[in-house]
Amino acid sequence: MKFNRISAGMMVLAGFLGAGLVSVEASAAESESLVVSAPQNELIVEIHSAMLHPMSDSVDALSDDHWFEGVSLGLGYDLSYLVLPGLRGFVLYEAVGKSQERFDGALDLDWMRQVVMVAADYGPDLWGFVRPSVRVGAGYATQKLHLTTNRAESTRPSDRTHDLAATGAVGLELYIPFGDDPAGSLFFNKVTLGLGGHVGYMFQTAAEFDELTRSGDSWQQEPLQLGALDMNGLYWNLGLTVRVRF
Amino acid sequence: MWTQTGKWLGALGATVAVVSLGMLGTGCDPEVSDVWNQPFQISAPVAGADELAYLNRSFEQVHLVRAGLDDGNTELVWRRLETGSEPGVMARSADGNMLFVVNEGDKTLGVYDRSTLDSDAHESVVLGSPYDRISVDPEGEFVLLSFTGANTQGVVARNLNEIGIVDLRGGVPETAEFATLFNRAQDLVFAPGFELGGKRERLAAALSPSEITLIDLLADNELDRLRSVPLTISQADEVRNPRQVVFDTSVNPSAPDTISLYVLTDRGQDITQIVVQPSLRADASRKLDISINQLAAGPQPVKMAVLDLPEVGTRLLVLNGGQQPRFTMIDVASGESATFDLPITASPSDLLVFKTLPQGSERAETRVLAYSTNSPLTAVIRPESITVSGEAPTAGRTVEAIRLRQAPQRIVLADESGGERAIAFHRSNQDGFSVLNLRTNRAIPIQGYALSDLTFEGSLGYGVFSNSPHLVRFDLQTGHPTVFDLPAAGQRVFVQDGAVLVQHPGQTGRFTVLDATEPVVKTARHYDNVFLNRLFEQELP
Repeated sequence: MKFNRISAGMMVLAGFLGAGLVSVEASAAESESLVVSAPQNELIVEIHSAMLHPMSDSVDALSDDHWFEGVSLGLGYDLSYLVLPGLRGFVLYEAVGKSQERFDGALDLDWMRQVVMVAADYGPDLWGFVRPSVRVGAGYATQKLHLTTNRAESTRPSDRTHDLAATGAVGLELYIPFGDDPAGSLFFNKVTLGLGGHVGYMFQTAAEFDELTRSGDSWQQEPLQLGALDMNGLYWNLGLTVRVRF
Repeated sequence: MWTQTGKWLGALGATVAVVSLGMLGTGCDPEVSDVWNQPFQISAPVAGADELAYLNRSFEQVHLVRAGLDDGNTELVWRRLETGSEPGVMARSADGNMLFVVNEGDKTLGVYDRSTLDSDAHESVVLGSPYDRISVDPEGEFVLLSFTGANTQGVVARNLNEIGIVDLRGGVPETAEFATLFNRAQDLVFAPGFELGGKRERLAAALSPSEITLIDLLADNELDRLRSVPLTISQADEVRNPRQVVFDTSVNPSAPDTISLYVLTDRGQDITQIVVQPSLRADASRKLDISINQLAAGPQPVKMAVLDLPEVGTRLLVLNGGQQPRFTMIDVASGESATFDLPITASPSDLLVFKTLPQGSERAETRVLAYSTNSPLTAVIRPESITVSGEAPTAGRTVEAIRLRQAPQRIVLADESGGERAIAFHRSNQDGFSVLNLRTNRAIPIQGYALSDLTFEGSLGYGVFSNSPHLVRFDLQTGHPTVFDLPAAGQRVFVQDGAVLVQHPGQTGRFTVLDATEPVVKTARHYDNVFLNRLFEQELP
C-alpha cells in the first residue's frame, strides 16, 4: 500500500507533467527564453531506485503485492546539437528482484530481472532547473530464478530466460542550475546534481521458465517447467542525476 | 522543429502518464490468494492400478503420477485433475478405476473414471454436507460418507450422526441420500455381497461407541435402512468402543441362511456375534431378523480373525493382551473356546492370516502369524491342529516361534510369494529388516538400515530406507539383497509397468524412476518438484 500511494503520487505528477509538456511546448514558440539548451557536450548519469509493478496473475507466486524493488542506472549523452534540441541518448540498466517464501516455507523463490536498453529521452530544460521529458527505449532482458524446497541441499534448481523489452515513460528532473560565473569554480560551472524520476510502462516478451535443473547433478534430471512469467507492467524510478558538461 | 516534435512527444508523455494512472486506479492491488502463504497441503498417495493419485488441497487439484518404460527408457508421466472447492479426502475403488474426492467447500463428491486413463471427465454428486471421511465399497456399488468430528474449525452446525449414501449401481447419481445414525460413526465397514433367502443383500456396519448400526444398503424403507445393535445394556454403562468388526458371509452349514458380524471392543472379555437372517414370520415388519451372541474370548482381546477351516468349520482366533500373551480359539457353532499361551514375550499387537503348503502335503493349510512390536519373538499358529475342547496344544507343533534379531515394527506378507514369505520392518535405524520364511518358520536377518517402505514384484522385493539414499532389491526365496544408489533417501516405493518408482521425502513431489530389471543410475531419471509444475500458471483458490 505504501508503494501504491507513492506510485500514485508519482503518476499523478507525471500526468500533469506530460500534459504540462504539451502546453509548455505549445507556448515555447512564444516564450523561447524559457527553454535553455545545453551549449556544449553533456553527459548525464542517473542512479535511481526502481519499482516494478507487473499486473499478470503469473506474478502471484513471486509477490503478494506485485511490487519489485531494484536499481536503475543510466548513462546518457546530450544529442541537442547532433540530432534534435532536448534529445538525449541513453544506455539504461535496470535490475529488480525478490526473494519470496511460499507455502509456509515449503518453497523459496529467488527471482531477479536485469534489463539493458538503449533509450531516447526528449525534453526541454526549463528555467535552467527543470526538465520534463518523455523516454522510449528497447533492449534485452534476462531473468534468473532459483527455487528451494529443501534448505539442507547445497544445489538448487535454477533457470535463466532471455527476452526482449521495451519501455515508454515520462520523467521529471529538478537540478541545480549550472554555475555561470567565469571567475567561479570550474567544477560548479561544469557539473551539477539533480533529483529525477520516471513513471512508465515496461513491455517484455513472456519469460518461459521451462528448464529448471540442478547444476552438478550426476543423475538424469527431468527439467522442471514453472511456466511463463508475464512481467509487463508499470514502473517508476527516482534518484540522483548528475550532469557533466565538457 | 523543436516545437512540432515537442508537441508530439509531449502528447505521448501525457498519454503514457494517463494510461499508467488509469491502470493504477483500476488494478494496482492484485488479489493474491492467501493460499500462497499457507502450508502446502498434499495428501499421501492413493495407489491405483497403474498410477498414484495425490490430492493437492492447496491447488484444488489431483496429481496423477505414473512411471513406466518407454522404448526401454524410464519415464514419469503426470497430469492434473481439477477438483471442486476445498477438497478434503480422496479414495479409490478397489479395482482402482474410480477416484472419489469429497469437496467440502461446494459439498459435492467428485467421481473420476480412471478406466480411461487420459480422460479428465468427471461427474459430481451433490452431497449437501461437507463430509470429511469416505468409505468405498470394495465391490464398487456404494460410497458412504461421514464426519470424523475431528475438525472444528469453521464449523457452524453439522450433524455428526449423519452419513451420506451414494448408490453407484445405476451410474453416478445427481444427489446422495443421507441418513442419521443413532450414534456417531467412528468407522464404516462394508460386508461383501451375499444372499439371504435367495435374495442378494448388501450391508454395511457403522461402528459407534457402545453401538453397531447395521445399514441395509438395498432397503426400500426407512424401517429397514438402519438397525441399531447396542453393545451395552444401557447407555449409562461404561462405553465399549468397537475396535474391530469382521463380516462372515460364507455359507455356514450349521446355520444356513445366516451371516454373522463379529465385534471386538476395547473392553470386556468377549466377542459380540451379530447374526442376521431373513425374518421368519410372515407378518414381520422388518425383512431381517437380528440376534446377538456373546462369545467368550479370553482376557483383554486385542485382535481377531475369522477362520473358515475345512472339516472344522468357522473359528475365531483372538489375540489376548496383558502380561501373559495368549490366544483364544472360539468354535462359533458351539460357542466353546479355549485359551493358549503364545511363545512371545510381550502383549501381541497384530496377526496375519496366510496359507502355506506344508511339506509332504497336497492341501494348503491356514496359518496365523502373531507378533508384538515389543518382542523379537513371533508366533506361527496352526489353527487346524488345535482342538478347542481338548487339551492345550503341544508347543512346537501347533504353535511355533520365530526369533527375529529385533522386535518388528510391523510385518507385511509378500502375497505374490504364495503366502510363504513375510518381511519384518524394524524400528531402529540400524536394525535392518528380516525376511521370514513361513514354510520353514525361519527368519533371515538383513543387516543395514531400517526400511521405510517395501513393495513386491514377482519373487523380488524392493525396499527404500528413510536414512540412506539407496534402493534394495532382494530375492524373497534366498533373502539375497542387492543395493542400488538413489539421489536421496526414499519414502515410498512402487513398481509400475516395469519401472521402480521411488518417492522421496518432501511435499513438492520428488521422484526417481528406475528400470526394475536393472535399477542403476545410468538408466534412472530424477524428477524434482513435480507438484509445482506450471506453478506460474496456477490460479490458487
